[in-house]
Amino acid sequence: MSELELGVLILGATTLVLLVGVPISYGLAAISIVFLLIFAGPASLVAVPRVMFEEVNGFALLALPMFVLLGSVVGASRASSDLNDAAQRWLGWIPGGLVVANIAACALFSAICGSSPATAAAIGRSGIPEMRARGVPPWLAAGSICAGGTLGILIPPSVTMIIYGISTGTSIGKLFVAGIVPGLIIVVAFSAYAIYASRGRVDDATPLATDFPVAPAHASTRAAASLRVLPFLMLIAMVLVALYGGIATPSEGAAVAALLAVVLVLVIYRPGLALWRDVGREAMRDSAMLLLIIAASGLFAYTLSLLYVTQSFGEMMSAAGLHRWVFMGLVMVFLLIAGCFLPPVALILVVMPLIQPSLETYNFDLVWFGVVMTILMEIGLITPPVGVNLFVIQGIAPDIPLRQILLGSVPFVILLVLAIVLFSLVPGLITWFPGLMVGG
Amino acid sequence: MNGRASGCGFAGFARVASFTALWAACAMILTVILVLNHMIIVRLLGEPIVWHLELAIYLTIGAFFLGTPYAVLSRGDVAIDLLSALLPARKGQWLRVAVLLVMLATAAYLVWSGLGRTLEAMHSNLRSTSLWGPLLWPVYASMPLGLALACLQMLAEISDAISRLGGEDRQ
Repeated sequence: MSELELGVLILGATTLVLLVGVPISYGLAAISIVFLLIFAGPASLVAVPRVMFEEVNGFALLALPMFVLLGSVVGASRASSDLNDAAQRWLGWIPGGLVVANIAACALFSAICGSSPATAAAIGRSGIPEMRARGVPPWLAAGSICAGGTLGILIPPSVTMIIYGISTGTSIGKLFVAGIVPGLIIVVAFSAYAIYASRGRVDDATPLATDFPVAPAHASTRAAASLRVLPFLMLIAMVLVALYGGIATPSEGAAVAALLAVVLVLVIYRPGLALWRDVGREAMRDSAMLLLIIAASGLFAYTLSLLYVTQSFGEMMSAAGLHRWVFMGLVMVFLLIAGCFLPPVALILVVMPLIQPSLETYNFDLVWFGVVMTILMEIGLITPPVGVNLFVIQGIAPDIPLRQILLGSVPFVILLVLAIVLFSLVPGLITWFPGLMVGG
Repeated sequence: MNGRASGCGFAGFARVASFTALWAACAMILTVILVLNHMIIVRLLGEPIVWHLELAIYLTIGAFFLGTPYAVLSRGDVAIDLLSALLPARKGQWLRVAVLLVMLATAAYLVWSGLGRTLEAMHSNLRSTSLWGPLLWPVYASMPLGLALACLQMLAEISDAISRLGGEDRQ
């Protein structure tokens, strides 16, 4: 059996094991152990615990559980509803502004929380009923939150980008900074579509139960609504400035942000002891799950390399003599399809060891590719069959049929595809900002 | 704690998983403090303290492995549940048992191989190559310990799933 045939067999077996429902971490470890045993002999298994341990033994990885802790602390508080309220008071008076406010709330909350499904759930829980009460069609209400939630993996700090950075050896700080401009462009595009789609459909004159403004809110009302969420936004801004200025490493920034988030939630929301217990367990569960996936994917990458699959794939791509953009087009189509089946974390960790050598051969900037890949994975989050955000929205708005949620997401998927085209034509939109970083 | 496996004499495992997750969370808070302390001291004195960051990394590794039983208990592992959602309830339950068996076999192998590495480090007095140079076996031990607890939780889940299937048969 040639190395390439072996690679196809490994990828096929991995897909099968994951589709059956074996958790990604255990699935990748199981496949690696079985293939090492059969194709490299029992002696090769000695490396298994060493490789898994070394994969999680690094300073950069400290950022991951700390940002997870930050997201869990803020997610468990009432910050999401306060954020939604503040966004509505600032933006709700413009035509179709309620949808725009929800998209903005998603963007801001995702910056604090870093997780797409958590953002969609937190903002959608209050946002969807309010939009529907104002006459926003269910498909638009669901689609906007579904798509807005995907911004969680693009707008920094993003757990997905930390994993991409660790997997590829790319600067996490640069990836964070690189996500800012594309994130803002996509928020503007989503908002413009929301205003267009809301024309004539939304009853902007109906006041809501939550004292929602139908006219431009007074400055003092806006200030009062923003007061509770401003510290959280300043916290994220501070982390980004520290990373941008080279003042702190991502792990140091994450430590400061996690500690300040705990203090802010204590001071602003005064939660009870039970909530802290839940937050602690939830943060540990998510961190353990992510770190076990990273450890197992390290073993998976080691297996592919030991069996010469990675090298053969790279050689095949070089021998094919493709134009670099034809290669990139093929990679994008593959990621688009694979992203419909695999969650972002798995996609990065399974695919990157295979394609990174070719990306480097074709001279693609890994920071640029990290952002583009993140947008491709955003599309996967809102497309069937495993689009997590679709099911999150169905869970919080069970009376909206899945068909309508899907229908509402389609225009946002098109916008994300157009964004990828734009960033491919003008890569500077992604690479310019991180290029200015201190130490960059 | 969701107590799914509590009716089968496995409630103790769930309590242990929950307890270790809380201790792991405390270790994470300590890690945050260590990183902050290191950051402040480096900025003030201009010299890095070796043991702060190394201890923070080891605490994170320990916390992560000790958090795995709770991830099993709360079904926190990332998985594609598409097939089980499409299958009828009973077949879905059998699939869940099969998935848990694959997880158990994998975790059991990792416990065994991790234990071998820990004992080897213990016997050879293996230390970190840093200036601080702590013994490495306690760090290595977190892998077999955490995953052994995860194995027990998987056994509880398998028992729970099989007893549910048995209950359906009796009905």
